[in-house]
Amino acid sequence: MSPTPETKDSVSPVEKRVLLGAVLFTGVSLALIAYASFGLGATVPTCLPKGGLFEHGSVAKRGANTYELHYLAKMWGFEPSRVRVPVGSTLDIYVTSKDVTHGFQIDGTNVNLMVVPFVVTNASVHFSKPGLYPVVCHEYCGAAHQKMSTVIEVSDKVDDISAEGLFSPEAGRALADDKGCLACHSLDGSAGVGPSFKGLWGQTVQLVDGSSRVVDADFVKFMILHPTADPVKGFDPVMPELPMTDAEIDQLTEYLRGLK
Amino acid sequence: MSEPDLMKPGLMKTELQKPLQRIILIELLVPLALLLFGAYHGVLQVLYRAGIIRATSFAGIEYYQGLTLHGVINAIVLTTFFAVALGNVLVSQELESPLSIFGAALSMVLMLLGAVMAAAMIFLGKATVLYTFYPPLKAHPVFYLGLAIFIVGSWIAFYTWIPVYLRWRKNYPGAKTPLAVVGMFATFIVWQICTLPVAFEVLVLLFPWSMGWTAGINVVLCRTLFWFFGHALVYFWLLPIYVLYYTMLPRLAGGKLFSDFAGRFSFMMFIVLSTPLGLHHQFADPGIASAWKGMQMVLTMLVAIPSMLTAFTVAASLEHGARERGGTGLFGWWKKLPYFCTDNWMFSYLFCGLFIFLFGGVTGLINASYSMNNIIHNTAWLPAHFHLTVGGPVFLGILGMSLFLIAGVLKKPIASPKLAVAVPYLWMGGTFIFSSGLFVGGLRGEPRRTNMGLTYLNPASPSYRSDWWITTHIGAIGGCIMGFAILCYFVVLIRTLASSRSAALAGETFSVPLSQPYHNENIPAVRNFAPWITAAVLLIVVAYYPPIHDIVNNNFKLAPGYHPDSPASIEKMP
Repeated sequence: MSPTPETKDSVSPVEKRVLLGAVLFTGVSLALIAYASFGLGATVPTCLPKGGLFEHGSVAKRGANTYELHYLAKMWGFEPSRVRVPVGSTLDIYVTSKDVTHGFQIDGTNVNLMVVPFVVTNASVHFSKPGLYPVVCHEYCGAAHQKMSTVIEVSDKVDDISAEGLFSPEAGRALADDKGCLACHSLDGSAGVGPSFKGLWGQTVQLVDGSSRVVDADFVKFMILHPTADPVKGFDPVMPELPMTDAEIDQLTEYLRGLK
Repeated sequence: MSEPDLMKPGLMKTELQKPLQRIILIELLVPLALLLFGAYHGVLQVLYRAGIIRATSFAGIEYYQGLTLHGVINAIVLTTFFAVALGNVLVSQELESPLSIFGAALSMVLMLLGAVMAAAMIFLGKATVLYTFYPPLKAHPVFYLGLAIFIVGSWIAFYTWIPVYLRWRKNYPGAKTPLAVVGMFATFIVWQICTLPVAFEVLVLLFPWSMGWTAGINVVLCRTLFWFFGHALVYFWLLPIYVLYYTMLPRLAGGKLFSDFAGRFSFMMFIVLSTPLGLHHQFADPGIASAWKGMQMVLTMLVAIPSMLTAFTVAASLEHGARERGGTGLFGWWKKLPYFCTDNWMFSYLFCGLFIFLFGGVTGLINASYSMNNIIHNTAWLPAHFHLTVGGPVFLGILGMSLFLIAGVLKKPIASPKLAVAVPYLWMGGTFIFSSGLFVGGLRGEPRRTNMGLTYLNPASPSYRSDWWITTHIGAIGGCIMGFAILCYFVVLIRTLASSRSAALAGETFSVPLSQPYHNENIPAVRNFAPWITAAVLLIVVAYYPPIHDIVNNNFKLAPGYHPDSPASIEKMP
């Protein structure tokens, strides 16, 4: 290099070669990405046709080794909460959220999805090895985000799919019966020790302290956990404290929501 | 020239206006004071994530609240204030013209007001929504309003520079605009373009919704508008540092800028390419056709061209400086650079940042590579990557240049120069350890933005992950070293502020030392902003009209708002 500055109208040859090199590098990278996408079928989620929105999780058999799974993401868990499939299964997975934005990443696979409320996303995955595959919500979704995960168990000991934590009105009713709720809360609108469950969801109820509350998920949870703290006007504060898991409270809440 | 002379310009005839000096001091010192909170919660986060702190909150600040604080203060408040302050100095200095003090003061006041509003809501726990907003999580209206006022304040700074630039062009027809001014204008042209969609999101969609005037929000639209802004934001962070690399670093190295054309061409390329590529943050999103994602992926990869050009040109400039110092051989010249020189301490900040950026740039290419994103999306890999970009060159550039400007304006020599030189190396070491932990952890599926100590790093939890123990602890060690580096920096800064003015410096005019070009090419195509801005606007329309048209016409069901603490929506389903 000479120590004196030069002024000239053209770009130095070495700078031109670097520019060409950068262009070539980018071109080769793009060609490789195109090959991965079109040649090897490594895709990203796309825009699904409308109409597939669902309100609850479900699992179904679609072929000899193929299953269709619908996951509902919600603060702070997945429905179904645990799934077991035979080894060698291909899962066609649909995920949506009923509240805020969540994430859905299956450990050790290429399934990595954003879950946006009221929009359905989709991915397929094949499991050739048995084991536990944790599914983590990897998007901040509120105070208990770190709790939000589930598991897909791939087993060589089963020959069909099974799932836990799925919602069904029957399961909700069975739980309400099992916990003794139905002894005091009727399902047909008739009077009882406590208010009838029928049509209760979304109603505004008067509390003894003079305030009023809308029957929503928060209120149901509060009443289950602290049954006599804030009694509803017109009913004796005799509801017992029942030990229930978060999943059971969710199940009961969903059951009540459906009893229009 | 001797080492101290390299950090001295001595060419300036006039001093920066006194009131402008005060404005610049406030614009640098206030965000640095806030950085203490932002950095403190950076250190806490690695402890939470490793399960060393196993709680929802520590010392009155909740994990996600601190995470919001860390993002908003470090990535928005600190970076924007710095860009404005640096622009105020360089535009006034290089165009040898006073700036409108009213404009500069108005900009500063609005930015302060906005920053205080947003920070207050975060401290009160009413805006734990992270800096990406994440609707339908809903924050207090004052949080959204504060951010909007903050952004408007930064626009006003730019508007005070434009008439100065136009007058200069008129007074010196045919003259080359100083490269530093081209760089700062490129920074704020990108900023002006990319803040429009986010201003729309905040003022038209989020603010009325958080006031309760509208019932629901189109989440896909909000996410798309945010990332319309969110990746150009990355270049808004980087470009002021590119200005320092192109105009200041070659001089500190003892040489000249290898190619003036490369600098101008890179800045123009960034004007064109910074914005129409935000969809690469949404590769994993539903509701957007993969064709549009693919199109913006191609545009993202094109950014590699100005970046590689910059890497080469800055390295060639360093080589020129080293050879001027007597360096020889194909690689032997590396030994001659002033890596640990206390008289030329600013070199170490820019050099370490540049070195870290090599790894940040390469991992960025991985993230942008379409379906490869499936492997790392939203995992710890991402914070590992951007602590080598915004947390590497950008942060070290801001630390070094803030100290340089503060000491320069106050006419004080920096205190503890040895410690000042140690800071970037400590930071670099800490960052590499931190990022190694998070890169590997990310590949093993560790999620980002998660208080993992409560569950995944808690042996008592059913979701305990023993395979994440080692990586989160490596991250914690690195994070603590980074925290220690910042502590050392504040020792230097506070001791400098507390020291007395130097009589020797009092007689000199302060200005930023800038380098001469080695190759001073005359290429008219890179000497006019207009065609490049036009190309930018056209490309944005091509890249963003189709996906936004789809999203708006898709009639996605609107989402009601949620408070981060409760799974029950704030208002009824619309």
